[in-house]
Amino acid sequence: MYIYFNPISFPTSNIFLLKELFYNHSNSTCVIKSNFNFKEVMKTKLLKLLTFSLLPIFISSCDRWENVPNFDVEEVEGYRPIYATESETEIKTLAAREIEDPGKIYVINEYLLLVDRLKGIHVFDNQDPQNPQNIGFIQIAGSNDVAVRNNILYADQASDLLAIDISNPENVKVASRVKDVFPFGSQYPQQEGVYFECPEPEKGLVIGWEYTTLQSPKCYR
Amino acid sequence: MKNFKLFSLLKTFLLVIVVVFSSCMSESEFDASGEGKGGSMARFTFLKGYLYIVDESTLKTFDISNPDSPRLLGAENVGDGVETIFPYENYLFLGTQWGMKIYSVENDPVPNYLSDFEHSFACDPVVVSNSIAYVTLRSGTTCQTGNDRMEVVDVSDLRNPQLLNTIPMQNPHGLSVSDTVLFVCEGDFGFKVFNIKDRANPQLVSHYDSIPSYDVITNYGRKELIITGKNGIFQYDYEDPHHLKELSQIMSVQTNE
Repeated sequence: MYIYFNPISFPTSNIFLLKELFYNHSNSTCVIKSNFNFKEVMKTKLLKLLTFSLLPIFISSCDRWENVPNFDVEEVEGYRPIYATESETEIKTLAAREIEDPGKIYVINEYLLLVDRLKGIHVFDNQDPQNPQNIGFIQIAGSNDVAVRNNILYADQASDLLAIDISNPENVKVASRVKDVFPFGSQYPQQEGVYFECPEPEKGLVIGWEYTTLQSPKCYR
Repeated sequence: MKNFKLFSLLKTFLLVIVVVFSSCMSESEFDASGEGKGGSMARFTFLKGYLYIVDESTLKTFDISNPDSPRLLGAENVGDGVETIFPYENYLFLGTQWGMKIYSVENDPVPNYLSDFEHSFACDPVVVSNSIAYVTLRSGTTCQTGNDRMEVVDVSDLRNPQLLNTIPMQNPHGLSVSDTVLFVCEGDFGFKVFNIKDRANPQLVSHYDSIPSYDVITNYGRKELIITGKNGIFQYDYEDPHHLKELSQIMSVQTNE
């Protein structure tokens, strides 16, 4: 999974340096493969580049990225993040609800868990697979992955790893939160080959994407 | 007096009923003890009591003996594009955009690199059974080169994986192996059932093209197949892999609309 950023939109010295490297030396349309923690990643990559002069290798691998988008678009169809409201950000058990955007599945004992992408986890009592019962929904905004061990449910929430005590499923409790386990988070649309508005973390957790007309988007994957 | 005795008896009886009833209603019946099982698309897995997580370019090891404060034991740089993790015996198989990577946790909870099986650029989960790895490779916009296919790789020598066979696929995602049956999700193209009695030569048994599929789990004990895709959850009995018996469907909103 790679996300392309418009280098010009990042007003940091690193990025300008990068822009020069690419636009002066390669003179090609190759754009840097990168992710959300763009600056961090590039810092190390740039260091490597400069120290070990790996630039030719980097450039020669450009053919992998031939479908790089043009960022000079003004109006284009793409995805805009939908941010969680305050109540949607809480981690809590809600009544069973319908499946909206099914993701990964997980089985623990007689229970079947299904991730609803970026929204939370459906819990089904699957003792009788001919008649599975939708028994509840654990709201975890910004989540895509789940695993359960000894009544603790591990899930991602954007860049954090959560351990959630589910021994009382009606009243789940966050046992711990480890920050920055997923530096790249899951804050990008599922679709590939699309423009999207770069999420702004200060606006909250992304819980979905709407397809709409964007003005000069700066992100692409 | 007699009445009073009867009344107290009744009271006890009622009390017993209330206690039994309330214990049924309490959440103590909910049991998520032990360890669960994920699909092949998973980025989290447990092995020997540790939690392993892959994220793009790192493989992280967490000591979760105290869930109130998971402890990061190690973060290995495993190269770009790591998408899935699969536990097999004492080993972790990573599906990356560059190929399959094998790590060992035999001697140390922090994984030890063993080998790489490189292929052209694609997205791929991996499952392993009987020393054979089945790797699906999906091309797409961000996985631009290569054809959609499944590779059958001999991993009996974990330090030197060998390609045995390549099977063309349409848009493979998750997969699951259960004894001599292999299930492969084909995205919008449905899912496929392969006979792998001959481990190196999967034979297509059937193609369920109307069930979009993304992730799959098999419950070998119950011979039960759980498939999810954009239309919801579909469960089958695969006692007879040639004739899957549908057990239930839970439709998503998208299909209901």
